[in-house]
Amino acid sequence: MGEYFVFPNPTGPTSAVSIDAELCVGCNSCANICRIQTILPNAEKGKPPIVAYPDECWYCGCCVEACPTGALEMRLPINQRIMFKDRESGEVFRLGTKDAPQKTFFKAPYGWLERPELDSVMKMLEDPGVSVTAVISSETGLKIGRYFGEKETADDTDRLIRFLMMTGFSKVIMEKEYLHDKTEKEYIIGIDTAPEGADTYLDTKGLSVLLHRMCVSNHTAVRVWRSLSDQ
Amino acid sequence: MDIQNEGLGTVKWPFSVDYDKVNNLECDVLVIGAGAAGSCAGIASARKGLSVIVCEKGVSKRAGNSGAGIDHWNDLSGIPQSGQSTEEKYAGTGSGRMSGGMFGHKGPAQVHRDYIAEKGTWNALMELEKMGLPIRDANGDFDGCEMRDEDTKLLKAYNYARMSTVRLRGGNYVIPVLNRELKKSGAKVLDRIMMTGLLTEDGKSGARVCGGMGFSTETGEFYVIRSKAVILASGYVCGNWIFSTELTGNSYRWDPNDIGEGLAMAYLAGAKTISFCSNGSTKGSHPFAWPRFGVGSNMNTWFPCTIVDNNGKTVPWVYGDGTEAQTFEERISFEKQGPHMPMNLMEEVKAGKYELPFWADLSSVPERERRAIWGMMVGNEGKTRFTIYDYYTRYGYDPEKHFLWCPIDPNRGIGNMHGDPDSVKQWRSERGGQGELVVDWDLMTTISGLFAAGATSGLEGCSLACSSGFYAGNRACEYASGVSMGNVSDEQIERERKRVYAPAKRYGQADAYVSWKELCSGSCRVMQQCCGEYLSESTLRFGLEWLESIKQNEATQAFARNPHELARVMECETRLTVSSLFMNACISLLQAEKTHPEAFDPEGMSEKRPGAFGKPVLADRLNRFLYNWLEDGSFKWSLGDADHYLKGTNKPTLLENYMIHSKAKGEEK
Repeated sequence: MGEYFVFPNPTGPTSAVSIDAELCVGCNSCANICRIQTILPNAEKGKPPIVAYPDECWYCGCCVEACPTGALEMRLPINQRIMFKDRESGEVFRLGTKDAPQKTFFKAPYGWLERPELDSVMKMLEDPGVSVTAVISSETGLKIGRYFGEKETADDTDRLIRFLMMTGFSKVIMEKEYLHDKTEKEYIIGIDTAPEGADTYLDTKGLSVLLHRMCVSNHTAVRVWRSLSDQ
Repeated sequence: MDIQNEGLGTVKWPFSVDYDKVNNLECDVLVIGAGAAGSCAGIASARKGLSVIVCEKGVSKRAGNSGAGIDHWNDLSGIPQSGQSTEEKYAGTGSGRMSGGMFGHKGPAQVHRDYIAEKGTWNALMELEKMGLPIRDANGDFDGCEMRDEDTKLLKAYNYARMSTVRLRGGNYVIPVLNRELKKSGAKVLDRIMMTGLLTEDGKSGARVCGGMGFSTETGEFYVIRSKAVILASGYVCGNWIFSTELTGNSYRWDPNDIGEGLAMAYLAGAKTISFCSNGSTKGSHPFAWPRFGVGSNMNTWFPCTIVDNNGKTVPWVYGDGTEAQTFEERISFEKQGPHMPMNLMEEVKAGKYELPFWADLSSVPERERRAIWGMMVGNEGKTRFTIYDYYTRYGYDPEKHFLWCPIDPNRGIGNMHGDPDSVKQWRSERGGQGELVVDWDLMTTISGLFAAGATSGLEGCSLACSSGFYAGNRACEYASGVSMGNVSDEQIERERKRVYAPAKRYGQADAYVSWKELCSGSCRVMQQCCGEYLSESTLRFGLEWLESIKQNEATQAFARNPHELARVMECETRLTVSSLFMNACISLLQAEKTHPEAFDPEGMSEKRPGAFGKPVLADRLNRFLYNWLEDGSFKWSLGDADHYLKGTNKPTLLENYMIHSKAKGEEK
């Protein structure tokens, strides 16, 4: 027999947004952008903010956007209400259910500010007439994890390759195995390395921003990253 | 941490609160609201070298209805690509019967105000671009697509034969970009300051405005801001009929900070209003609607998506004469009237031709069009980049593989896809009848020095908000440069302080038992019962007494336990004020019908806007302005010419007046 407590239970959603305390760095970016004070800073400095008034939330998502670590996830009331249907199989799914399909759509919204070099890579990835190859250095796999909430350094090269293939890259090649055999309809993106004939170069941080943009929110990026470890 | 799910018990308010502290500030121009209209007003004023303070109830970086992003930039006319000059578009509106704006008002409209705003939409867009907003398809994502205007690289919407609405590449960032510019311009921006009242000369009603008062929703401190001019840019009147926290996130299109403070404080200061008798203000409160743009549709953001029935059968797009469009291109490029969903679609459903439910099939839409909808539009519109684009795809929705559900009301048709489910009829329709402040050719209200821009002045949409904001900012500067500081009344300040802090001071007293939610629900019920489509003077008077009774009882027992709750209680007081204005306005409409029958058309707009009982509601038939205002504490009304803006000291054409009030003074073209 555990202890039982009484909780406040107002009408309206009780979880507008949830904050992953492990990922939260207590920066209050979410609380500071919240127009409605749904999220308030924690009176104790450095502690995760307080989801104080979820029933007043407008679900604008500005807090999710503002969170640098992906600790915030919107918990929508709409997740019990929206259906979609596979055009081939006819199977109907409901958003947010446990049997929902894996995320397959990684095309970013248009119009992110600044970083035009990322726009050009995203454009290459969307062009069905070309293939895009990433050439990564041996360092990239060691450095990438911390952009997806990993606290300890590990060699995440395999995970990164799966991530890149998922988001539309045709091939991922290690720097030392790259044979400079670029075909006519192929773009080469160097990651932490600038192989001969590369069309664009990104460092690990730039690559992580690209992947985050294709995932839309930092939260989704972390979730996708974590799902790759299960494979 | 989550109070309601993790049971943290009582959590300490994170800011130090001082309800007794008064901050005295001074500026030339005070702007209330930092959304699209307020930001532009602040930028225009500060660029002229005046001292400017902008107060925002929420957070200026993402403030207002455009704060979470926009997709369309509407109402472009007067540029070569739009194929129509503003004069042509507004030709025939001189009677004031119809606005040239996209929503088409009921009854007389402030055509000159719409015209002013529309004249500036292109310049406002160019200003935004200069500030750093990506608006064009600069890197060629839509190269060779019909939607792209090759001269400007702007992306057209709805009808590619001309460019009257543009899809913005970076619409998500309209407010952050404006906010950066606002701060750069030298304006002082105060976040989390909720303005509650205006200062008028010597505290007199109807006298010129000389500042505003409000408080911090963090520290609770009071702010007295003296100024020569005030620009109201505080958004719509929302939620007077329905209060539902359960559905806020699903159905709210408008910023929940939009309560109507600007209108209420102007009304209390004696400003004249119109259109409150139109009585349709549930802006954003379709209580059972679907998340905006979060269900499939063939319209608006989702135009021109393909709709299929439950068996995958495509619903054709049909012209007015019944012929079907043969190609996808016909939907998006046409000379006069394009094809739509079949008018008799619901009869065809009932006859078995289509099986419900309908689904929106983006997967069969040409790739660039799909990416324009699910990428450009849903990717940038307010509340959709994260709430829909991110969330839906995280849970597996893939526009290249899946249909998205189109829940509809079979009795209302497929044109109502953002609307209510079948079993719930709309309570009040969203018909643009929030009521508005009367403004002149300077966008100044009938109170000297008090200007209005954006939704507060009845202008819906980001483009009109920005444009009217720049215009009002410039006019307010001219006004402020010619006047001295007004004489502020200490008594007016003390009265407002007493009113504002009463709910905080009484917290803990035995009879202070009414929460803001309870107060809000009560005033909404009065409106539901007494101020519907059917208007009767006795019912309206009954409602007014009911509201007054709530004001004297529950409102004096409402408590606030921190500055956040104080803001919510103050919003309820605003609702009580605005609701009484709605009902008084409706009474004045009924009285006007008796005393001035000639002011009502027999048929009105019946074809376009059928009323609830199959005939136009009374306000739709009004052919003159019905002014409503407060004078020495009592409600007044009068009728005025619908085309007053072309009469008296005004010039006989829209363009002449516009030139005198803007171009002659320097900035607009």
